[in-house]
Amino acid sequence: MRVSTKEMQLQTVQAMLDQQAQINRTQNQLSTGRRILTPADDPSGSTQVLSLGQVIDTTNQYQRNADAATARLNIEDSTLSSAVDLLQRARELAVQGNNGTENAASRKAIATEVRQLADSMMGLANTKDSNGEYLFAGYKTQQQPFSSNGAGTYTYNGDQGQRSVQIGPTRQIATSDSGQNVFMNIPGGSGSVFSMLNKLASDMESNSPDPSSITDMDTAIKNLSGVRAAVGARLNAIDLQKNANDSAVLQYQTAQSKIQDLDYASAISQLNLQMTGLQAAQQSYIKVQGLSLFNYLR
Amino acid sequence: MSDLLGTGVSGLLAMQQALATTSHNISNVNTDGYTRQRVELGAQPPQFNGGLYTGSGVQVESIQRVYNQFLTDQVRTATSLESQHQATHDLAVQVDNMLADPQSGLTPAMQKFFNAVQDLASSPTSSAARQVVLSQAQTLTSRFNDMFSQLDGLRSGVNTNIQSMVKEVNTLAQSIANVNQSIVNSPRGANGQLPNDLLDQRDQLINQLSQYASIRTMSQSDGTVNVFIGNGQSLVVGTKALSLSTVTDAYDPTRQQVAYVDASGNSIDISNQITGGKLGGTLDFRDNVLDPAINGLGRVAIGLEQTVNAQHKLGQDLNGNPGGDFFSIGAPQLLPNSANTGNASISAAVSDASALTTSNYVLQLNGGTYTLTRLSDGAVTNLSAQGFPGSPVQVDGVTLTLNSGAMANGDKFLLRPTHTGAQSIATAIQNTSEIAAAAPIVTGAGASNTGSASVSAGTVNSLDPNLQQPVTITFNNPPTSFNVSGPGTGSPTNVPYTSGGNIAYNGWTIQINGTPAAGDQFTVTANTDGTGDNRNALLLAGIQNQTSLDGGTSTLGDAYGSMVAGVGTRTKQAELAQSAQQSLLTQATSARDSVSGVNLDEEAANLVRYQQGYQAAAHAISVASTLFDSLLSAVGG
Repeated sequence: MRVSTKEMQLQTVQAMLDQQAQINRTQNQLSTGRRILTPADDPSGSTQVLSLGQVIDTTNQYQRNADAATARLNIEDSTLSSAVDLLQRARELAVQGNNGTENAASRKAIATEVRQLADSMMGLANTKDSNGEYLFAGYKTQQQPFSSNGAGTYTYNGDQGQRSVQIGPTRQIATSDSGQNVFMNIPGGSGSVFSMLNKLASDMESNSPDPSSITDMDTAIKNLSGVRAAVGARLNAIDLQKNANDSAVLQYQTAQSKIQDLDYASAISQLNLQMTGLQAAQQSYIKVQGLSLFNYLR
Repeated sequence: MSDLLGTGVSGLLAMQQALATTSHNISNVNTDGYTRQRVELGAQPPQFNGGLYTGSGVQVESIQRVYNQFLTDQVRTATSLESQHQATHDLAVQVDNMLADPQSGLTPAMQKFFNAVQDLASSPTSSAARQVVLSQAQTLTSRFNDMFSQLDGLRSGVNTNIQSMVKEVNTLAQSIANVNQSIVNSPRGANGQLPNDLLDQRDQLINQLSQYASIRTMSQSDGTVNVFIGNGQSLVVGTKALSLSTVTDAYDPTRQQVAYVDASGNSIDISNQITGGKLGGTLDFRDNVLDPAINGLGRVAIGLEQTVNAQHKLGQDLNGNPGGDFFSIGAPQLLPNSANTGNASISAAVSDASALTTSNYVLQLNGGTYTLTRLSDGAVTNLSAQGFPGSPVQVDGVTLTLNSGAMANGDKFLLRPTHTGAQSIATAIQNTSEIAAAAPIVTGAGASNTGSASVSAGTVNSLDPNLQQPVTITFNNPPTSFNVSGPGTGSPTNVPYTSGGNIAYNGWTIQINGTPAAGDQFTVTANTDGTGDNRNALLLAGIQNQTSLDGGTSTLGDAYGSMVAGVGTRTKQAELAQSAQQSLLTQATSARDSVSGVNLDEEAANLVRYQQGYQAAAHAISVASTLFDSLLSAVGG
């Protein structure tokens, strides 16, 4: 077949340009570390990369939420722990005060300590979290939940709301307990924790100890310990969920990397192959273009 | 003797012609569209002398183009298709590149917005968390706006491209007509031969024209060629050129279309008849890559706006007020055809984001029947059958309402439900306290309850006027049923109790779980001062994973992903088609050039051949001269 000189030259040049374009592409892949440079390289793969990226980011956000929940629950846990310790001391005082060997003067002293404990209990019940929100106020976290009129009447100003956060795709965890259930409404008890302490103090002041105060303290300790156990269970659940989230993220990242990331070994060998191809094309171009009958015409 | 001289001279002259043609070929080795020429030599008629026919030398019979019409036509067809796919690909790559980096598309902005809402759920009273939600919402809406601007910039680019390409087509058509004129004016050679180089020039112009659109040609007996474009519209007739022009779309004045200027000077839109070439490729890009991408992005914006707003309105903001619109967005576009004669004022509104498609629609009145045609697949909905225009109709998530006036028969409107979504989306709330993170109701158990039953936090389903009215549920004795009291509930009595069953009044739903005691009370009341409530923020954050589009099968992220995949697929298709056409074009060009192209080695050999012929003829003259000298010296003694 005849070949026109111009066409022969153009085709060889075009072949070199094509090789260069391929090298350029491989180079881009190597420099970005990405197999998929634009969605056109792998339309369905790039969609998967997008949705996996979203799942990874969302799961990382769940971890962030879980950390915030842990921080809040830790504050609640230590507050409840102090409250239980405080009630233990009140119970000791109640036992002591009910002892027949005590007299009016010593009971007055007990009453003074119980009053201090009651004040501390009020302080604990009005604890704030790191954001300055009251822990035990339900949803009304910007209003002081517990107040006293100074005459033995205690009021809960919060509501029964319980805040939850999302720590997994289908998992929400409560990060608070309403003060109503912790301090006010003691199942089987005779009123709030505050009124029980107030009664104990008043009985001691009037030198008329009442053994029911000991049971009162027991009931209150039981309720607060129960709430504290629930908080501990939630903290454990968060840990488990965090582990699950971590391994999910790892799986998603592996899947994403398989789709999107470059296999360096094969890319480098491909680059070598392409470079060899280009060199061959360049050398043959120079050799072939040098061939002309005109070289021999004198 | 004189015949020997004459024969020798004929050889000299013929070889000179042949050398000149060879040299012409060599000179044009790099001329685009040049067809090599060949000298056809023939023996001159013999002389009859003394009963003998004596040869009298050589003559040049013609100088022919070595040409094959079929191969030339093949190159032209391949050129049109290659240019078309090249143009589509070059433009699609721009959209593809825009979406290429996963870090710069829509996804990161969307992710950051929903993450901010999650952070708000962790600390609903924090003004910092609220500020981040607001800022990320603004970043997200600007991202939509920016991406729309980029795509819209490509749309303007397409308009400019179409205008300049139409000018090129007109220039080429005029040039072809001029060459036709030159050919008509040229004197015919032997056998009616036309001037070779003008034919080459015309073929080359026709080939250039085929880069802009598919064309057909027809040779005329006077040597001219007629050129047709589109559906057979004449672009060149003999020595006269007609022209194309650009007109604005009948619906959308920002859209340039290709028009044909007919003999009486009317411009007729022939965009959908143009195939092949850069014009065909550019129009194809606009119809099949750009518009779907703009609509796809718009649909994600509308989906976001609709779902977030719906949930936000069920919430309560930091000031205790019901949530307002979180995002705002423009209504679907309904563009009247410029030829409409009626005075109908019709409005379109998105009523169901999950039913939205990325297609555009044509609303028309024909013979008393209102129809809506979905342009992506041609599906026709009979609106008259659904009561339009007497009552509003909903088709594919869009509600059409005739506000006033009436459509005249033949009137058309172009409905673009999603086109401007990404352009018009904006963050509606201005103040961080307007973010409705809380729910408007709160549930509670009576302080003197003795049973072990508990009440759920409750969900809000609709904005009932009695939503926040206090409602009390009191258990009867035995506690297997309860009475409800409160405005809006109708105060039913003896409602049977099932643990965990839904109890729904006034737009809210709650569940009571466990074993209540007789006389136990549960309440639903307005959420006063509930600034620490994050229930609505949790629901807003959940929208990210909610399948709110495509009839409840796609999340917002999925819908964006399918738009990206759509662009990627079209780009890939254009790339593959372009490279396939490129190799077909190379083959066609090789085939043509194997016949018509100049090969320098061949010309070098011809040079040697004709040079030798010339030298030999010169030698024959020299022999004649020697013979003559011999004769003279013999005579002169």
